Amino acid sequence: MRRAMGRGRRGPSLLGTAARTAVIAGTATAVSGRVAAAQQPPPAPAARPPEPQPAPAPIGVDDLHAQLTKLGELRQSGLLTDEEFDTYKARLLTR
Amino acid sequence: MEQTSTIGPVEWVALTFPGSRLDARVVPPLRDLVDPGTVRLLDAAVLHKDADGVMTESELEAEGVQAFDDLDGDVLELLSEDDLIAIAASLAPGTTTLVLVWENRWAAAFADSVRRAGGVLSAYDRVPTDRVGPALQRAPLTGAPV
Repeated sequence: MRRAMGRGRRGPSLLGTAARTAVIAGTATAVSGRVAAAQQPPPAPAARPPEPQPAPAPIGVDDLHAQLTKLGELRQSGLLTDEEFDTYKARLLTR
Repeated sequence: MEQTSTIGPVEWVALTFPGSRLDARVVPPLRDLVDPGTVRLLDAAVLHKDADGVMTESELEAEGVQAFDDLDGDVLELLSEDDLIAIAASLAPGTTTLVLVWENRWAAAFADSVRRAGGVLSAYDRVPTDRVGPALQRAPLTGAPV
């Protein structure tokens, strides 16, 4: 095969998230090795959503906005998983 | 094969082999697809994962496998460093993986004909292999023209 560029593989990702998700399960193993370890931070301990609160008072629009924003920040920082974010968000919106 | 300027669907695969060397036996069937222009190779990269799980990225020409050197195709370096690291993360230790990107030229020519006839692609998927066998067994093989 001919090398057409020779500039290295520093361009943007061609595959996106598929590079990880497309690897067929049977060939996958427990993550080991330096590269994998560097790429995958250890999973955060699963935070259990708190037990449902009894009938909370209705929430004002400003409060709602502030709390949704806070939730978004918590997810961004990795303190909440997407699933937990959805749980809390749904709970906020149904109050 | 009909010449066409449309770019056909581009696919990629990661082919993982045991051991630390690429096997030249995969080249002849690949050549049979490349030489008549059925597919066009756009990129190739090699990933080694040693017994300790340490990944090393390599390029085909560094593998010293003559059959690949003579294979028609381009290494356009479309796969990024990040792509290769992400693929390697899930591979088993003690393996060598060939990552290939190719364009389905046959589909480009076909797509051109469809477009000229006013057609568009409305759906596209690959049938899971485990569904194909049973489906073919159910199909009547009468040999009658459709």
